[in-house]
Amino acid sequence: MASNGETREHWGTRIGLVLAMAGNAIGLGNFLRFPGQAAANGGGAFLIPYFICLLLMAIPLMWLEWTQGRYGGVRGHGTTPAMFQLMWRHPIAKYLGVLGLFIPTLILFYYSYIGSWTLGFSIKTLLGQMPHVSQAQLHEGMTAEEISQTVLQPYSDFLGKYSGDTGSGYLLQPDAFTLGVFVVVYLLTLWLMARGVSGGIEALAKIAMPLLFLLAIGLVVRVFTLGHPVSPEYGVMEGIAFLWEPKWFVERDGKEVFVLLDSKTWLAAAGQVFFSLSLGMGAIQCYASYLRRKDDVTLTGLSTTASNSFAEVVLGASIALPAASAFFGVAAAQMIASKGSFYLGFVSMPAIFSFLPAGNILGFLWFLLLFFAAMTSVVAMCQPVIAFLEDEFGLSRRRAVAAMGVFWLIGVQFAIWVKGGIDVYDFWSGTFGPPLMALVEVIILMWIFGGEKVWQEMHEGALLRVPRFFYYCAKYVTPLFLLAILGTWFYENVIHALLTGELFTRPLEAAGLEVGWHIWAVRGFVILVFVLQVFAIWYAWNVRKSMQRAEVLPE
Amino acid sequence: MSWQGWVFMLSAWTLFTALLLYCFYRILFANSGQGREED
Repeated sequence: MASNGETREHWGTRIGLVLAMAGNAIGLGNFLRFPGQAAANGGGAFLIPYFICLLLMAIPLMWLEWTQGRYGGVRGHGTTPAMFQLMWRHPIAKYLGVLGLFIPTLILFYYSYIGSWTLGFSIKTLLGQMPHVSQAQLHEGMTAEEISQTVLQPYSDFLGKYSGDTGSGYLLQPDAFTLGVFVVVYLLTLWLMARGVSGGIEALAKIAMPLLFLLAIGLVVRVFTLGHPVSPEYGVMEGIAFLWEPKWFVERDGKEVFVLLDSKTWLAAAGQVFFSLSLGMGAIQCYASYLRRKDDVTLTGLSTTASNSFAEVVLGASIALPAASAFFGVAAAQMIASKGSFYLGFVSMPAIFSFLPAGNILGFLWFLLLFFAAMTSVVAMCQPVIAFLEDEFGLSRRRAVAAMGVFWLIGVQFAIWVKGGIDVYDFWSGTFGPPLMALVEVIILMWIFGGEKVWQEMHEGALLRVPRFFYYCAKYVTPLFLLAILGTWFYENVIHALLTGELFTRPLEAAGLEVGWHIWAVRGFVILVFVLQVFAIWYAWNVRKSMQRAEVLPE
Repeated sequence: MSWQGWVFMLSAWTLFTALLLYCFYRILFANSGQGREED
C-alpha cells in the first residue's frame, strides 16, 4: 500500500496533463447535450445562468478538486476515500469518499457502451452501410412531424436496430457488430490503462484532443458553408439565431415564465456545467493526484474549464443544430433538439450527411470526433477504481486494470441488454451523485480542513494568483448553490414524486420506459456496487490498521 | 438574427476563445519552468 507520493506515477508534460484533463471534461455532452439544453432553456438567455453557474460554482469547484487531488497524490492516495480521510480525521470521512468511486464506476458502465456506438457508427458511415434518404424527399413547408416520419425515420430505426431496441420486451437485442465494436473499445481502453497514466492516458490525449479540435473546427466550417440547400427560408444562420436569440420568456407547464426566475432553467445550466466539466465525480482529483508537489493547479485548472466551455459554446453549438436548421428548418430543428442528444447526434446528423457530397467521409469524421470525445472521458472514468486498487490494496497496475476490467464487464451487461439500464445508471451518476459529492467535498475542504489552508495549498507552485473573490465564493456561495440544486432535486424526485405516487417510476416512465423486474434488477445491481465499494474501503482500512499494529508491536 | 442575438453569441465566443488562448499561451510559452519540481 502506498504510503507516500514518491513512488506514484506522474504526468510527463504539463501540456499532456492539460489535454488529458480537457479530454476528461470534453465528452459527448459538449457536442450533443449543450445545444439541446440551450435551445430548450431560453437560447442566448441560457448563457446567463450558464455563465453564473460556471463562475460561482464550477470554477471554484474545479480549483478545489485539483487542490485536493494534488494534496492526496503527494501523500500516496489518488481517490477520494483516502483524500477525505486525510483532510478530515473522522472515521466516516473515508466512507463519504465512496462517491468518488461509485459515480465514475456507474458512468463507465453506460458511457463506455454509448462511446462504442460512435465508433460503430463511424465505421458504418465510412463503409456506406447507413440508410440513405434522397434529398428530393425534403421540401419547404414540411412539418416537423412529417420530417420525423419520413426523412429521419430510417435513421431512427437504424439506431434502434444498432442498440437492439426493436422489440417490446424488457431486454435489448444488439447484433454481433454492436457487441464486437464494444469489445474493441473495451480492449483498447484496458490496453491504454495498462500502459499507465503517462504512457496510456496522456499519450491518448496528446493525439485525440488536437484531432478532436481540428475535426470540430473543420465541421463548423463545413456547416457554415452549407448555404440554403433546401429553401431560401432554411439556413444555418436561422439555426444560429434560434440558438442564440435570447428568449426571455419560456413555456413551463402551459405558462410563460421569465427565464431567469425559472428553477428548471437554472437546474439545466447547473447540470450542464457539472456533467460536462466532470465535476463531483472524483475523476479530476484522481488525475490531479499524479501531479508533483509544486506543480501548478490554478492555471491548469482554469485551462480545463476554458477548453471545455470553448468546446461546447463555440464548437458544439455550431455543428448539429445549425446543420439541422439548414436542411429541415427551425421548427424541425427545435423538435430534433427536444428529442434529446441521441436523436440529434445519431439520427439527425447521419441524415444530413447523406445529403452532402462526400457525406460518408463527413459522417465518418463526425462520429470519429464523438469517439475521441467519448474515449478520453472513458479512460478518466476507469482511473479512480484502478488508482484505488493500486493505492489502497497495493495491487500492481496490471492486476488493478484486470480487476477493474472484470468489474466493468459485469456492469456493462445491464447497459447492453436491459431496456432502461442506461437510464438507471444515468439517473444516479449523472443527476443526483455529482452535486451531492461536490457538496460533501466543498464542506470537507472549506469548512472542516479549513479554507485558509486550502487557499495556501492551492497557491503552492501556482502560475496564476486566484482572486480572493473565489475564496468567499467557494466558502459560502458554492455550498449554498449546491444545496439549492440538491433541494430542488429532492423536491422534484422525492417529495413531489411521493405526492403523485411516482416515486419509483418518475424519471423512467417520463422517458417512455416501463418499470418492471428488469429495472429493479439494475437498481439492485447499483446498490450492490455501492455496498461492495463501501466494503472495499472498510477492508482496505482494516488491513492497514492491522499492518500498522503489527509494525508497532513486533513479535 | 437581432442585435441581442449577435451580442450574446459574439460575447460568449470572444470570452471563451480569449480565455482558452490566454491559458494555453501561459502554459506553452510563459512560466514554463516555474513550479516544476525536478525529478
